[in-house]
Amino acid sequence: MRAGSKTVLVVEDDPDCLDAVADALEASGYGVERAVHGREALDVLRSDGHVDLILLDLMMPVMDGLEFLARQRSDPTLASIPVVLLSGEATLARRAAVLGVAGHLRKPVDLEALLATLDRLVPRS
Amino acid sequence: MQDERTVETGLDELSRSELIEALREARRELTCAPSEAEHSLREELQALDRAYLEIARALAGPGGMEGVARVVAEQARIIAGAEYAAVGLGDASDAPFTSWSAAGVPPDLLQTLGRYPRAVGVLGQVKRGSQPVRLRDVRKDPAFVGLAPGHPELTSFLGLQIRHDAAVLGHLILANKQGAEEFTEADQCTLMVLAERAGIALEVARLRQVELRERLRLGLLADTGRVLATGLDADAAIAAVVRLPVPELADLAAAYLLEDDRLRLVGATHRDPVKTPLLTHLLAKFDPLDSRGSATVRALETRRPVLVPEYTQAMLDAVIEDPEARSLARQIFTRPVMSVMVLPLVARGHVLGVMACAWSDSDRRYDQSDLVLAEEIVDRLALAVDNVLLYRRTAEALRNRDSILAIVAHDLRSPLAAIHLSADLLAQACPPGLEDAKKRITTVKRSAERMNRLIEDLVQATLIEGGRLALDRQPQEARALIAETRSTFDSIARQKALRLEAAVAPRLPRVLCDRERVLQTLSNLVDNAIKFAPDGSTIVLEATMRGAEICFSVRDRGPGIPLEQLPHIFDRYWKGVPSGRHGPGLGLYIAKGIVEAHGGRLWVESVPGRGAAFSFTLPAEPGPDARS
Repeated sequence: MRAGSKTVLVVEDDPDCLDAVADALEASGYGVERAVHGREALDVLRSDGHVDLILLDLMMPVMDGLEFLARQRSDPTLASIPVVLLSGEATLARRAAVLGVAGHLRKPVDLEALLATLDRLVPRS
Repeated sequence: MQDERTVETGLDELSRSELIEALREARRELTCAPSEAEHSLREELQALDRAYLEIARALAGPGGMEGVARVVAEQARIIAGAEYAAVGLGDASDAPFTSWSAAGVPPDLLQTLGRYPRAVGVLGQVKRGSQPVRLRDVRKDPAFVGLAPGHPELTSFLGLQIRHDAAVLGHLILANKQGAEEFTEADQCTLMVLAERAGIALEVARLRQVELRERLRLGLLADTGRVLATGLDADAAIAAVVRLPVPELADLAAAYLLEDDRLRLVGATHRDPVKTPLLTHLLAKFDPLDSRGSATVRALETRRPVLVPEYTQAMLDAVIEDPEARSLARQIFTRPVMSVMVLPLVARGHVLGVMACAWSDSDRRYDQSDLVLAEEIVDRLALAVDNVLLYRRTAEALRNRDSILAIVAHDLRSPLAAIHLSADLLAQACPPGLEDAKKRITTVKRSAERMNRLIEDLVQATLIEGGRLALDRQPQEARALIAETRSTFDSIARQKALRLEAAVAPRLPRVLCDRERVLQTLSNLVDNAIKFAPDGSTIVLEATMRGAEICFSVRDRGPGIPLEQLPHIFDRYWKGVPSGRHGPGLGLYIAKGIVEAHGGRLWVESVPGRGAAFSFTLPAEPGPDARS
């Protein structure tokens, strides 16, 4: 983790997709934490230092995105971290509005759109 | 009113002069002194006169043939001075009586006896033979086969036919002449006169019953049709149809569906609404398939309706073994003998279930004509249930297909995202000078994009096909919709040196529509036009008023659409493009689906060689004066 850079937690069960997103963020100057489901994401958040933004898939094994979101929000030490949904769901925009998350990116997302959203919420440095 | 007139017609024939003549004739051979004979004749005449009056009243009442039979029995008993009398309806065969009306027997004893006497022994001789049977002591007759347990003792006996023209309608039975050892020949003669009149009255009642039955049949079939036309829920259809035969054709009815070799009770109804829940509770307790040899099992095995004219307590007990259920059954079925029809629901060679009807509270018996009528209803029900089941199975298969498609579409998006991002990263990392590699990366990206669009189209076409396309309708400016579409295609149009022109009529009201979907529709049409427009030509995007709707058009100067392709271009699986480059051609199908979901219409006008114009209408936002 580079000092001064912002850290994004990517929660995604598809390993290739996780890799691609993480690589894209790292190449663009973000620090990256990874988790393959909600439970692992909570572990990361509670054990490891600081996360500035969570990029969250919805359909995942063990603990899905919705349950993760509920738990994150009920934990006062984590509740303030902005969440961006990253999912292939057809009605993602409506879902994001209902959940009141900071943003949403519908898969497949390209580099430009990904960085534009992150820059808006957590400018790199 | 109609009915009373029928009655009069029937009894017109009972004129007094005719009656006196008949009695005289009957008495001709009797050896009474003239004055005594005259006196006795007068008395008999009065008695018969009273009897005719009572019979006429019964005929005017609602009791039908049985009502008349009851009165005939009672009047015969009075005239002949008998302790007991009865009229059994039925033809001159050894088939069971279809009805048995007794007079002089206490009602509770009748209840206990339950079953109609069988046409055997002396009674069988009366029923089959054409001659009256008169006996001093019936018990001493060689044909006598004994009486049912609890039956009153019988000594003297008189039995004769009740006919109308050549047809035997029933039999009049008298027993235990009061104040004498036996019935006299004079009694027999008088009763034959009465029987003749009873025959006329019964025939009138029968004809009226036939007419009522036909009316009932038409009514029931019409009701069945109406009920079955209302919905696509098998359970609801069955439950509604089960109510129809009650009370005209049954005191109770129940229907089951055959599911995994078990019978599931779907509907049960009783003429007494208080008993309906009891009946449902009782029938839900056991599966009729568990009692081998029951009427239900027979109906299902033979796939033919089963008629049990007299369904006894013993038969019921064989089906219901549980003592608690039995006592519940005793509360519901008040008569010791019921009459039951069980009809299988058969369609296309498959047994779908079974329906049962019963007379449980009225002293009525089913006959072949009831079975035929019930069969007509059940056949219709079976057909409807079969349709519902087929529909349900088809709908389920479609739902499965759709949900698999949705899952696959969703799951494909993660790898697609990986391809997109990786291609972007590769392009970024590609050092200058490697133009070839960059071109390949662009191809990867474009292919991934196209794949994504194909998936989107497939999902959307499926939603449209299932009528499940959700719309978020808001007032939109037509001008803005067209402007946004033009800007989307700006760079692509420039590559082909095409001009995208807007022609929006002034002062258009706003369009009430789902912005994203309508943009997609316009895009699909413009995309299609761009594919066919020759380089350097113009594509026009129009918006005009058309009645209360707004009409959008996309016109190109391309080759137009060949006439033979016109009827197919909006089909889901049609692809007019000769090469496979443009995907499965769902664009126009989706555009049409979106427009129609808005309540609009999409169509094409094309002149081969001169271009095509795709137009669609959308509802305009209602003006202030249109709101009420």
